[in-house]
Amino acid sequence: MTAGVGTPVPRRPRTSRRSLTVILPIAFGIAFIGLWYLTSTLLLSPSRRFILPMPHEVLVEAFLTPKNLLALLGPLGTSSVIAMLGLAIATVIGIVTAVLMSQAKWVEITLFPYAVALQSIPILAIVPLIAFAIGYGFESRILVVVLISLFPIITNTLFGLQSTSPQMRELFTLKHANRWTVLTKLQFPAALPALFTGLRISAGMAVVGSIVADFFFRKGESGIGLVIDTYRNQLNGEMLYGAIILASLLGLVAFWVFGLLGRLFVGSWYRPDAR
Amino acid sequence: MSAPLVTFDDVTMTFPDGTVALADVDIAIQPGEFIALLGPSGCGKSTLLRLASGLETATGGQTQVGTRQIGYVFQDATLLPWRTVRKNVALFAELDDLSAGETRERVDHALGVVGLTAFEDHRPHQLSGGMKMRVSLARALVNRPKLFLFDEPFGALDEFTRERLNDDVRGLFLRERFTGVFVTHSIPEAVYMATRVIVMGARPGRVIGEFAVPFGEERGEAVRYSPEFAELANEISQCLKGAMA
Ligand SMILES: Nc1ncnc2c1ncn2[C@@H]1O[C@H](COP(=O)(O)OP(=O)(O)OP(=O)(O)O)[C@@H](O)[C@H]1O
Ligand SMILES: [Mg+2]
Repeated sequence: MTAGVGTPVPRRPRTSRRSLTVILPIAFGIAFIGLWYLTSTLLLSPSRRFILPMPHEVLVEAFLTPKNLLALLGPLGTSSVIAMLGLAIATVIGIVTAVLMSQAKWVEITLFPYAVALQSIPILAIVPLIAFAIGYGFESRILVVVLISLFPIITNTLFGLQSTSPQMRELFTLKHANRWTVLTKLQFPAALPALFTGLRISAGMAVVGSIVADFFFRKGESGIGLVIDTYRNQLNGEMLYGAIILASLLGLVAFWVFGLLGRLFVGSWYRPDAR
Repeated sequence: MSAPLVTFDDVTMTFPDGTVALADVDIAIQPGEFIALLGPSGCGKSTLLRLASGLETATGGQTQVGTRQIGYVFQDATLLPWRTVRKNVALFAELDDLSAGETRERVDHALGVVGLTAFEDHRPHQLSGGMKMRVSLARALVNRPKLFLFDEPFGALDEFTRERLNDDVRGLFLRERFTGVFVTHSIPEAVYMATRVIVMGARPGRVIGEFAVPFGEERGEAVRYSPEFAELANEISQCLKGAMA
């Protein structure tokens, strides 16, 4: 018997596409900064310029002055830790919930409305409740992060667990494989791409959650959200924008890290455009 | 004659929605036979294989299968995309909890038989359709099947690839001496492959004709283009047309 039938599918050249994906965003960034300068020089009178200081002013004041940079990086670190802890807890709870839902339809039917509710209730509305129940400390901030990042993990993981074809499951039925085997050898690997999609979304949400929580739960080491609030009160435009930019970068990095992790874990086999 | 390996005795299959897929099907398959199963779409060919493999249980009659070593090849390769070729082929050994050594031995053999040893570290998305089907064949071979079920296994492939894979299956049949049931829509393919052709009719699914194939194990061009071959194919075609009418 020969192996002559068919050859490995060749990869299509990607170089031009890839350079575009770098050039276009950079061009957009430059245009954006240009627009920023225009707004702050032409639209705002000098007395109101603190509302939107010019980019280089923010750069010098917030990022190139070591003392000021440190004043931002400390809280940023705190916010990152809170976001990561909350995300880790949400990941465990989310995966366990999705697995339970995938194993028994009645669990899914019972819990899904609450998962949706979790997504729909404005987090600000239950903040007083959290404060009332567990106080103004670290734990409350983490809880906000968990609540805000849980839903995408549950739904994406559940979708992934249920994405296996009936015929794939029959391979396991032929061997009378038990639920655990089907879960670990079929459903869970199949769910990994979707799980990482969920994690990526949730990572961004977690950063948002930790910043929002800062505004309300002020006990303990301050996070970047508290710093933003402080500079806002002080009308310190340069530092305010510096803090906002760092917070945004944190969200971007979180998104990017999980994209990278996803590619690391499933990139060797997952082809979104296949099928 | 020895005892049949597979017996369908008055088998009826009614699905919960009321569809009668099979009615009073009687088939006995002797060890070493290679059955080609022909019939119009929806006449219950797949259902029959599913009953033989234990994926489904008949609602009436007796189904007896004298072995648990069953190979089953679906129309789609149905590979697990995250597994390499080797790990895909090893799936059933893994589910049977075979030892690592035993698994390696069987997988090596199966990969060799289908000629994919050099591709063992590839992922399914790197393979052509024909290669994927070979992986699927190798995966079934790891069971050391005594009964090998093929459900239109190469229907989705181009004719050239399909003919080569058919030759591969025949080669396997002659070498490994399993009992085969091969569902197909092609009459020449059925006659070329089988030792016996069974024709089914639809609504409700049942057996409407059986044809022993008189050719020996050597089936080259000489057989394929012989008058006897054409004559048998024509007879089967008449029978099938009766079923469609
Ligand atoms: N799970 C099911 N529930 C209800 N009806 C079913 C089910 N599976 C199959 N059927 C019906 O049973 C009949 C036989 O189906 P089967 O798949 O065995 O046909 P087939 O001969 O393999 O057809 P094809 O050549 O198109 O593959 C069809 O009418 C089909 O619609
Ligand atoms: Mg079918």
